[in-house]
Amino acid sequence: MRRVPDRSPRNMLQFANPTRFMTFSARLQPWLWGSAALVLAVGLYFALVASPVDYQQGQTVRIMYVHVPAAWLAMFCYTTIAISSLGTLVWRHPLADVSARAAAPIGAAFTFLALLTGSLWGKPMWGTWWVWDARLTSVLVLFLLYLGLMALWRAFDDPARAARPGAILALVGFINVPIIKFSVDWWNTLHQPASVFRLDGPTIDMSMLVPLLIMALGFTLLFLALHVAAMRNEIMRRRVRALRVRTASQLSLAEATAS
Amino acid sequence: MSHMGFVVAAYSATALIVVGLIAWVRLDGAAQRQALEELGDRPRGGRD
Repeated sequence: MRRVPDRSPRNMLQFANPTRFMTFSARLQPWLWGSAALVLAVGLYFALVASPVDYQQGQTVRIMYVHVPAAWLAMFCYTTIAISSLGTLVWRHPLADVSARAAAPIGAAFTFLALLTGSLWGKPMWGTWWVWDARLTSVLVLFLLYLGLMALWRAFDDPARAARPGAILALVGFINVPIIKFSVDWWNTLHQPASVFRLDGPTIDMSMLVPLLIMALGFTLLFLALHVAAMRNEIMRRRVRALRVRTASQLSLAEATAS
Repeated sequence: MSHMGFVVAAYSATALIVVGLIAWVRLDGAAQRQALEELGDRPRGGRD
């Protein structure tokens, strides 16, 4: 009788164990790095050369092609952490905590980049580096959340003990993501309202929307490549820790037997 | 209206942070692989 492979979600989850992830990700990585480099190169050509200058903002509009993808990734990365945290709390999946921990520094870097490029765009256009409006402040809170998560994880020697409190903090902090997204609609902000993801369609001209979407895709591929690499490092770090703990306990047992 | 200095600063900061992130994952990966080899463990799933 022919054996039918079990493709139930429960069985598919077993494919995501750390050892199988290391094998699978080693094959995936070159494709991720290569496609990220290619899409970013095309995106940069459009952003810096082929796209027109804005009739009001002039060359300054080119900051949009790095600022907006960085801001999208800041939220996408936190959403990845929140979904991974759900995996830690509900299914206690070993890769879920690894995924959350690996994503946090990358998310913090992109959030910082969104704040920095936003400031560099704000000074010539608004006449100020910073204003305490709802969008800017909620993104700053997101950056502080990333730092808080990383500090919490580092406060524990054993990553397994840090997983649960980290996951709870990450999920509580997720409330900030819709606040960031809708802050420009709920409050009167200096920051402009949404111009790409709108119910009535984008309000940007196609000559600027296409380069923006290419850059956003390139940034997303770059994040995926960085995240997979950081997850591999985290798995190896845990293996190093486990081996060191095992060696230390064998040594202390040998000393106790000898004395 | 040009403000090219702000555009150059934004793209330079982006390049710096992206290169920093790539260097971080590469150096951290190399350090973990070396630690595993010192502990006599074979790195699994191929190299980066």
